[in-house]
Parts: sequence; structure tokens; C-alpha cells
Amino acid sequence: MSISFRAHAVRVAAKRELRSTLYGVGLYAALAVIFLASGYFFVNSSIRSALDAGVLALQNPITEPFFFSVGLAATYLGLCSALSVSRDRDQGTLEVLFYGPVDTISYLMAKFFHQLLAFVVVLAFAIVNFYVISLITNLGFTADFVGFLVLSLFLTSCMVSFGIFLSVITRRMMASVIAFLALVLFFLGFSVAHTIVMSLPGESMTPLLVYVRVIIDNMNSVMQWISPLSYFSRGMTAVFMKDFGQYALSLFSSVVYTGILFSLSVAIFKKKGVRR
Amino acid sequence: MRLFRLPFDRSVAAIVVTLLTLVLSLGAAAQESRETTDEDAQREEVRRSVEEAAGAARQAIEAVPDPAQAATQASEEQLSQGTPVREEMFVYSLSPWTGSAFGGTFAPKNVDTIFLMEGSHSIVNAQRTEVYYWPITSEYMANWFEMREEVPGRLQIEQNGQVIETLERVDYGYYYPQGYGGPQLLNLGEEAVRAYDDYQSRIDAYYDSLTRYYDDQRQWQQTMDRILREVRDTGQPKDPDEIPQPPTQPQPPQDFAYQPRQAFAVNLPAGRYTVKVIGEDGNVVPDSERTLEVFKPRRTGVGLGVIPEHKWTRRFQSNDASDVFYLDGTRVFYILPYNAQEFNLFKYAKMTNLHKPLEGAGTRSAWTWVQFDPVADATLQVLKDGQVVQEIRQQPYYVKQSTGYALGYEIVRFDPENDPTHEGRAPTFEGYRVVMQDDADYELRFVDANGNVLAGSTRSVRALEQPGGSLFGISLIPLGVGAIIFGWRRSKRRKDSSSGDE
Repeated sequence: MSISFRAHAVRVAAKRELRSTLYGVGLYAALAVIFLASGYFFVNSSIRSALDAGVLALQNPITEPFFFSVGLAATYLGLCSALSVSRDRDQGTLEVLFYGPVDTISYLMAKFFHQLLAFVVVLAFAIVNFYVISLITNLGFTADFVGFLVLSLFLTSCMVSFGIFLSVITRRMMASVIAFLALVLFFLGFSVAHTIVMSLPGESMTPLLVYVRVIIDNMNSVMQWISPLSYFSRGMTAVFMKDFGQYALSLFSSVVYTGILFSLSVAIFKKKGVRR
Repeated sequence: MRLFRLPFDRSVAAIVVTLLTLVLSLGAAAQESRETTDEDAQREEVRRSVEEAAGAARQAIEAVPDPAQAATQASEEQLSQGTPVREEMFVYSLSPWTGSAFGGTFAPKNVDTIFLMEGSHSIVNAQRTEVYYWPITSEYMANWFEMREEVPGRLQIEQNGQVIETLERVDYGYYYPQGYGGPQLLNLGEEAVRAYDDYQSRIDAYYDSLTRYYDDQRQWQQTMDRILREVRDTGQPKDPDEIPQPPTQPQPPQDFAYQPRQAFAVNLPAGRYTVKVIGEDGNVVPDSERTLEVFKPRRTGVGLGVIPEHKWTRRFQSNDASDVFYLDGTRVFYILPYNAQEFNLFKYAKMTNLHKPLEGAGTRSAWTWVQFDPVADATLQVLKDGQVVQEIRQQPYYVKQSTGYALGYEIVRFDPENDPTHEGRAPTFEGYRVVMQDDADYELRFVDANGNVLAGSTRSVRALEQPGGSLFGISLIPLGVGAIIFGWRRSKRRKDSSSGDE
């Protein structure tokens, strides 16, 4: 299939699916829940701590809830992508679709760009939400935020490609959803556990806790290349440190991550075929 | 350095304090000798007491162990508990520069990587000693006092298979210009010997002047006794000009210098190296080959210690320039700036704790800021809309506890000249007093004597607003938009279907 035909197929399919997403209520409801949770658990608690202390130094308290929000939104979109391929296969839509001018690459690319474009809408809501929050609380809206916005697009690209990959390797819709949720929860749980364990003061650690820390630290050296959240986390550190080289490296590694998973998805999809 | 308490502090401090106590308790020893009736014998006894004390002080100074040995020597109590299995082995004893002092540790044979900081000399020595594992504190200890043999040879440093440096042992000695507990300097070669000789000659001069002082004081006492006797006998007071001034007691040197010893002084750029000791026969000394990792900070900046006036015991740190100070209303706080660096926690912890296998374990992915010496000669600038609106100089402050049963305190400027309650006291801290209004957003930054902004010293200050329920109301915006779109789609579909029916 020629590139122009493929591009046209991707454009048409992605547009159709995006429209369907935007006309539904699911995305908006998910965003409202995510923003409510981030407002309560992060923004509100930071403000309370600062007000209780009278004076307190914090890294911009908008950053954490933003990370939480886009992380959850990207997970939601990743889950949608994990659902979509296996649902199409489950329902037999895939087979019908492939009788038309659609091949594996254009089909999977349409799925990928659909979720990425949906995330642009998510970002628009996130900007409004956090800008208004920073205005009413005076938490501040720094230039670093632009760096996080760009970074979040790459996080989503990792998440979506991860979702597509899981969707391709599992035959059933339920299996891909369970696999995606289990893995993302594991990545998220690991990230939280790693942060907590690393922040524990060394002097008060029992030998058992030290061994737990060693295990988590060793696991982290592997997880940082598997978990999509790690790519975003590294990029955030680079933004805080104003380290453009590390930031660019983080974006580049996200592209490589996406590229590898997408290529694997295409290869597996071709091998498995479109039949149920 | 505020993050890690150096382990050798307590033991070395005990020795040094004993030593200085010995020096200063000389007066009591000399005073006791005054019971003797014969004057010459009395003078001779004082002189002898002073000389004995001086000799003891000299011995104590020479016996002060190296930080590496002080940190890892088992105590008598530990040696008497259980029967640890001692193994004689080759070790590297290490006194690495931690940024504020020289730490102490050693690398037993099972430790294959040594960590040192870039940019300054660290002391490395090749020795044989008895090593044993002390399970109670989960650390390896060395029996330095009973066995400490220097392994002769040169330290060969290689990188990527190429020999880049071969070091001979040099004289080294630590010097504390403001006394033990103050800043610590490392002198190498002739400088170490010169500093120690100078210290010794001043100690000797102190004891000489102390002997003279006791002679002078005895004579003054005799004169005073005679004057008092005359006043008592005649009933006539003496002219104040006839009363002699008492002699002034000499002060011992306030600084302190270690006796020079010999070791390898390593100062390398950041990187990974291989170190080994080449013995006198030209062969590599068994077990001496190790990896040496010289590391550097990831970031350098100005770390701020912040003391809120209303909670002075609840001070906090801000090391990252991306930190923002959030205020609830108008607040007063004190800022104490320090030079700070951010290191990999594992490397920084291991540098001074190689003999403790669990120390720093599992922190390879963690980073830590370490605050070092205070920033000197700086001015704190307060900016509003990019313009400097206030300049604050460092001042000494004193925390005054409230009298009576009520708890409380007051932070006041330390002013011993005008406030008699401050006389004979030291300031509680020296810092910059900041009064921040909640009327606008500000910026704080430190500038040096030439007006240059110190890198990493800028912080934003913002006054927080209570958002109330609106914080959660905003979160519902997407739901509102979704409802509008859903309604619009529904009405459009209805219109479309009704126009289709027509």
C-alpha cells in the first residue's frame, strides 16, 4: 500500500474514532474524576501543609497533581487502546475492515493517533484546570509547565503503544484489559513504593528494610526501561534541573520506546492475522 | 555537613578533649605543689609539674589516631563481648574529603569499589590489620591498636588499562585553625611538617609562659600578702598605685595540628579507575587491586536553612532553586545560606562507610543535597516585579526563652554591648531576617560582595490564597463541557431524524 493511501486511511479512521470519543461522555467524566482526585489529594493537601506551617518551601505543588492527572489520563487512553484492537477482533469488525483499503500499519497507526489526539483535548482541559487552580490559590504557573506539557504527550505515546501492544498479543478483550490494568497498577505501585523507600531516613532503617530497599533499587534499574511512567519521571527531573540534554534524551527514549512497541505490535498483528 | 554525622567524631573528640583537658588542668597540678614550704623547692615542683603535663600533652597529641582508625577501631567493650573471628588482611584505610571534613573508613578485602569525591585530596593508605565483623552494629571493625602494619610500595592508578598515575607516600597532617570541631584542613608534604612544628613550638612556648606565670603569680601573691599584713598592722589603707596588677594567665593555642603521618594523597578527576599497590619487589600486592570511583556533584547551589520566627525549632531546608516559598499571610523568618551540592546518595554514603555493608545499600537511584560551609559575605536581596526593594545583611540573633511557667521564646538581635543579658553568651545563630508581606509575589536571592547573583540562590515567594470549595468546582468543568456536547449531539440527532421524517 502506498504511503499516501495509508496516510489517508489513518486520517479517516483516526478522525472517525476521535469524533466518537469526543461526542461521548466517558472522556469528560474520567477527566472530572481525575481532576477532583488530584485537587483533593495533592493541591488541597499541599495548601493545607503550607497554611499550617505558616511558611514552607515546596517544589511547585501544581507539578505533582499534573503528573498524577496526565498519568491517569494517559492510562485511561492506554486502556481504551488496549480495548479497541481486541474488541474489533472479538466482534469481527477487524476482518470486515481489512477487506477495505486498510492494512496492519494504517489500522494500528489510526488507533495510535486517535488516542494521541484525544490526549491533546485532555491537555487543553488540564491547562485550563491547573491554570485556574494556580490563579485562585496563587500557587503559581511556572515556565516549567510547558516542558511538562510536551513531556506528557510523549508519556501518552508510550502508554498508548503499550496498550496497543497488549491488545495485539491478547486475543480476548477482557484479557487485554486485565493485563493492561495489572501492569499499569504494578508500574504505578512500584513507582510509589520506590519513592517512599528512597525517602526513608537511613539511620532509622532496620536490616530488613535495607534489604527491601536493595531489592526495590535493583528492580528500579530494570523498571526504568519498561515502565512508561519512568520516562515521564526522568523528563520531569530534567525539567526541574533545567537540563536540556537529559530532557531531549527523555523525549528521544520515549520515541524509541513507542517505536519498539509499535513495531512489535505490527509484527505480532501480522502473524496473528485478523480472524477471531 | 548536616546530613551525615561523621562516625569518627565521638572517638577522636574524646581523645582530643582529654588532651586539651590535660593541657588546661595543668594549673591545678601546679597549684597543688604550692603546699611545699621551701620556696626553691616549691618553684622546682611547679616547673616539674608543668614539664610533666607538657610531656603528657605531647604524647597525647602524637597518639591522636587517624580518622580512618578512630572510626573503625573496636572499643574495649566490643572486644570483651563474644569472640569475633579476627582475620588478618590487606585493607585500604581511607580518610575521604566529604566536603566539610575528612571522614574515616576502610575497605576490607570483600569491598571491591572505593568511592572518593572529585576536586580535593583524600587520604588513602595500604595497611595490614586484623578485621572482624561486628554483628551488633552490622559493620566490619579493625583492630588497629594491636595490629597496624603499613604495606610498603607505591599506589598505581589505572584507567582503561593505562597507568595514569603512580603515587608515593607523602607526609600529611590535619590542621584545625579554629580548634577541634572547627574547619579542618589537610596539609601535605613540607606544609604538614611545618604546621605541626609550628603548633608544637607554640605549645612549648605556652608551657614556658605558664611556668613564668606561676612564678610571677607566686611573687604577686607574696607582695599582696605583705601589703595586707601592713594594712592590718597599721590600719592605714595603701595607695592604689602601690597595689601591683596580677599577672595575666597565658592562653593555650586555640588551633590544633595532627602529628604528620605518611599515606597516599589521591586527587583525581571524576571517573572510574583501578588502584593497586606495587610492592617493593615490583609485583602487585595480593588483594590490593580495587575499583576506585571518583564522583562529582550533579548540581551545585545555595542551600537555605529556614527558621520561621513563630516556630523556631521547626527549621527546614530548601536546596533546590525550583522550590517556592509559600506563605500564609505576613511572615517573619530567618535564612541561613550554605554552599550545597547534590550527590548520588549511594556513592556519598559509601565514601565514608565502606566498612558498613548496609550503609547506603539500595540507594543507587537516589540523590541527596548536602549543605556544607555557610555562605560568607553575601547580601540577601528581596525583589518585587524584578526590582530590588530591600537588601538584608547577615546579623547575629539570640533566642531568648520566656521567663516564668509559660512556654515561649523571643528571637532578638544579639547585642552584648547594649543588652547585659547577652554578656558572656554566644549568638544562637547568624542569619538574614526576612519580613514578607502577603501583598505581592516576591523573589529572594543572594548576591556576593561584587553584586553578582550566587548561582542557585534564587527562590520565589508567594502568598497563598484559601481556595475553599472552588478548588473542586473547577474540576467539574470537563463534565460540564461533556454534558453540553452530549446535549447538543442529542438535539442535533433529534433534529436530523425529524428532518429525515419530513
